[in-house]
Amino acid sequence: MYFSRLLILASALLITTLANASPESATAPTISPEISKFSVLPATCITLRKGRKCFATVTINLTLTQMGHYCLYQQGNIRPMHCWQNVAPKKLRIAFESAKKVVYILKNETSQKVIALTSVEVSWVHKTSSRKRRWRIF
Amino acid sequence: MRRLLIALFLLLSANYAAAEHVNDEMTNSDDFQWQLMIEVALEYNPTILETAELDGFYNFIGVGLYLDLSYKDFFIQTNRHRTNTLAGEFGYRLVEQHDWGIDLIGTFYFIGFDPEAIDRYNDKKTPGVAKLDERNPGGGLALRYSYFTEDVLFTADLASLQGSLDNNSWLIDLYYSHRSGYKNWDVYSGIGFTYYSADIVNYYAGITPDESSENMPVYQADDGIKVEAQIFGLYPLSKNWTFSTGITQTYYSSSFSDSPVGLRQHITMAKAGLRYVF
Repeated sequence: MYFSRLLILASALLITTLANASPESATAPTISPEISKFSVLPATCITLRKGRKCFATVTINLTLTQMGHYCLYQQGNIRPMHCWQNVAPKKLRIAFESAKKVVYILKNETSQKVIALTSVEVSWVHKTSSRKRRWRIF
Repeated sequence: MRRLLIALFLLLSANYAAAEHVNDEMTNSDDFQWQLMIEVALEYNPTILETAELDGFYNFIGVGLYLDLSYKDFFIQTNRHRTNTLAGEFGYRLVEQHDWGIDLIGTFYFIGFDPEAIDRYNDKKTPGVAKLDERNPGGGLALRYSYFTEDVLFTADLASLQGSLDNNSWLIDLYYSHRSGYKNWDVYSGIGFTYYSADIVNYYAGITPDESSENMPVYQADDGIKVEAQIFGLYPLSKNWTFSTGITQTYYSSSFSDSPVGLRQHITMAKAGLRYVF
């Protein structure tokens, strides 16, 4: 009886803590009136150690105020990840794989202007220490 | 009950402390470093005694405190990658090189057992068990050689247990662990080998004339070995929480299992839990 209550209490506490720690959606300030929403979820990818590549499936939510030819880029890449032409995009799920912050850029291909930015941060549980590496090898 | 209360208290403390600490920033100064992790797990962890059965719910809840402290060349550490680690270790670094080192270690290598307590708490009585003396934990001093790369750790301990057991109690403990990654998982595969001198095996498995009875004849044990294989995984849930799970299979040589005391030859230990990293 007491065990069950304590377990429920402990579980509730744990869930609360995890929920508090969960990264929220990153909503970027829109640069252009062409877009009303451009966000990514989760906004942070958690890896075990600093420097380790982080893997996640992230969802980009976007709402455009007008039709046109738009493409999504990962900052630093020339090739677009996805393009929309005269359609109303809402969501895009992409595989995230990086050891550092990744910035996503939405561009109007007709005007060649960046209309919005958002990013996924990479965080970690264990910070790698260069000194006494043996002690904290794992 | 007590374990759960402790777990609850620690979780509450963790929540409070989380607001105060920057994530896992363990370096307070160049000389002093620390790290603390708390684990609450569901586990199946039978003792080496065949007669001691896991019957209560609390026997399947494990609470672990992983404290690592380092001041200059002195340290206290827990081997969190051997799921069946007995206790923390204190030590002193004698030699520290880029990928190897030698330490002086003080730790426990064999968990003890109290036959009287086992007989008292078990419904199934084993004749003669209550007459056996208590076996203390096997603690001692060791010289440890370590080889380490980014993903590999190998340790070789030469330990003397004379302080807690008989005069000629010594052992050699070898352990190799390899880390590999799959997506956000860290997977540790490990294999261990331990050689126990006859005095150690005899202390735990032997039966002296004073302890002997009709069902527990006198038993003089030879030296023995333990072999263990382990696979262990860690997965990050947030900046402070990780999920941990692992299974360890242990084999003891017949010098242990032939004992009338009733020691298991094969032990499977498994657990899944959550760790909070300060």
